[in-house]
Amino acid sequence: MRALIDEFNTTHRDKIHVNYTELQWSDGRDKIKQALSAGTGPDAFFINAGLEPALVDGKVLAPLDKLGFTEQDTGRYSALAQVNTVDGVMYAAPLYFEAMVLIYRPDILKQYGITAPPTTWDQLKADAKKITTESGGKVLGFQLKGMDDHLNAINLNWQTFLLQAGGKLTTNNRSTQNTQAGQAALQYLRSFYAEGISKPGVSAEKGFPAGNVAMYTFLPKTAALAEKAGLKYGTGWAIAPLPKGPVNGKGWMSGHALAGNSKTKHPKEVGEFLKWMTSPHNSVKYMEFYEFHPYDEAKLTPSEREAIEKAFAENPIWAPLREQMALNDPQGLLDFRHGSAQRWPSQSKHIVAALNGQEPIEAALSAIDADIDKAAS
Amino acid sequence: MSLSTVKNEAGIPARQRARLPARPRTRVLPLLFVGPALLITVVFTLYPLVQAFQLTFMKWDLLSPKKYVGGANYADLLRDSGFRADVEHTVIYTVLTLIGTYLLALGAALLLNSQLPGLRLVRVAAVMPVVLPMVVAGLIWKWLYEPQTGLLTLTAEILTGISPNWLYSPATALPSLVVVGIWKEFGLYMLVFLIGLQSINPASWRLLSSMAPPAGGTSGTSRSRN
Repeated sequence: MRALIDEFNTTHRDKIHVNYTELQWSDGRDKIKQALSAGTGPDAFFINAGLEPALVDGKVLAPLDKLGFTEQDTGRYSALAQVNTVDGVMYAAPLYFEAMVLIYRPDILKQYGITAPPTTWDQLKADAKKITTESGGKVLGFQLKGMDDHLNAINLNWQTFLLQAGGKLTTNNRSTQNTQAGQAALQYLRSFYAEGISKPGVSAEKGFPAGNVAMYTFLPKTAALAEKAGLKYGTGWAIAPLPKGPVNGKGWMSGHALAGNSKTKHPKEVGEFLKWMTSPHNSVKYMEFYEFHPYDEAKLTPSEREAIEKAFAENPIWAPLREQMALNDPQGLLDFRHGSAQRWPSQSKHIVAALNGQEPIEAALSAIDADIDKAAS
Repeated sequence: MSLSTVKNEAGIPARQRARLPARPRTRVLPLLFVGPALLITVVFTLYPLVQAFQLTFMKWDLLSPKKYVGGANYADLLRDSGFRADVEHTVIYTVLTLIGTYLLALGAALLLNSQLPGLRLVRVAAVMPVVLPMVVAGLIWKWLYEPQTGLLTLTAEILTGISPNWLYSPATALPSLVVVGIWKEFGLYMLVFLIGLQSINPASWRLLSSMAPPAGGTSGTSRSRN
């Protein structure tokens, strides 16, 4: 991000200069909110795709049309970009979208006689069980990221498995996790720990390159550690579309966007900065980190389309990633808005407790529903 | 006749000065000294503390206007099973760590006070965790407790055939942390006990030894009474 902003400052030397401040992931979003509330917020800032309701209700986001975006500009985005829209108004320019996938070690699978990555929940469990059992627990066949040293990751994983079981986060402005679908998803994940297939505490991200974890589901950019450890894509590590659940093969989709401050004194400059940062030209750069561009390729210019197609063709990771993206839909992110402030802490707490066997499944899901509905009220 | 009196800087005789009320300057001066520190404390500690306390009675998402909700946040906290569990675990951790630390520290101090050979090394080993930064200590114990390859996990597996998940199993997580807490702190208390023990007069030790019960006989105390 810093390199891109330096490039922007160089190319716009005579007109605009952007001062970049990088905040910590843990409290950066709260710091931005506090600054916006005090009237000292930045002109432009980085937000999660999906629009947090507090930002919209607090009227701190400038509609893109007030920043100089035309209908032609916003019309080039893919359907996924609707997650940055409320009542027909787009409040943030999408930078990229991310998809959950299955990250696996082909060499380890082969070692245990598994020739292809699992494509269904049943296969995932059977393959994982085979690896964990035959290795005497030295290699976990599957680890659910979030049951290790990255607690927040449980949210993306849980939301994925819930969708695949046919569940919905929200229905008619009510949190709907304690449903048959929610219980089936949690029961399925619980069985990995109850049957000793997976073990809490083993780091998926670190255990994967070390050869202690054969498969996990998460965003492909986390596999960078595998590359850093010298594993080669295709033999040492690979990705595949998520194993399909009982109802569908959807996965959780997330992403990031750039928003402008509604009180900015430089709306034109902010708009120009946002357009430049989210341009198809720069989208190709984000693709190096396995981030999916936010454009409808049919609406891009031939040269823009060619650059993106070239990036797709250059890395074999994009074939399974595009396959997964084609199954995903943005509805999950729209449903996520309901009670979003409480969603992650509540899910982290109760899902982990249920997977550990500390909390009954129905009680955990109903506690999540209660927390989220309360936060939304 | 000449009369000499000692005058202070203001030219007032000492006797006369004693009857005067304390000068304002003597009251202002201490305030000037503590003033800057007081100002910093008020601005950066007291004011945020009071403001944070006020916020506990509000519902606020940092952006929308604050809404007064009375004691609802406290009621929620008390109803929250997670909060109750947190308090329970904190109390158990504190009690067990305190008891364990004191017992181990006293035992180690008695051992080190016995003048047995090679105890210098034991003393260094016991004090080492105290001077070790908590981050380093945390990393060491995380490695020892690691669920697949941790030294303690593998040792337990060899000895018992069971591979415990020290930090991630609800049954073992709290005791595992208590062990770390005791290990980190007992060295300091051991030194305090050791200093206390070594300051006892050797004659008192000899007297205490003479009162020790002989094998199969009555105690020194009962003997002296007899």
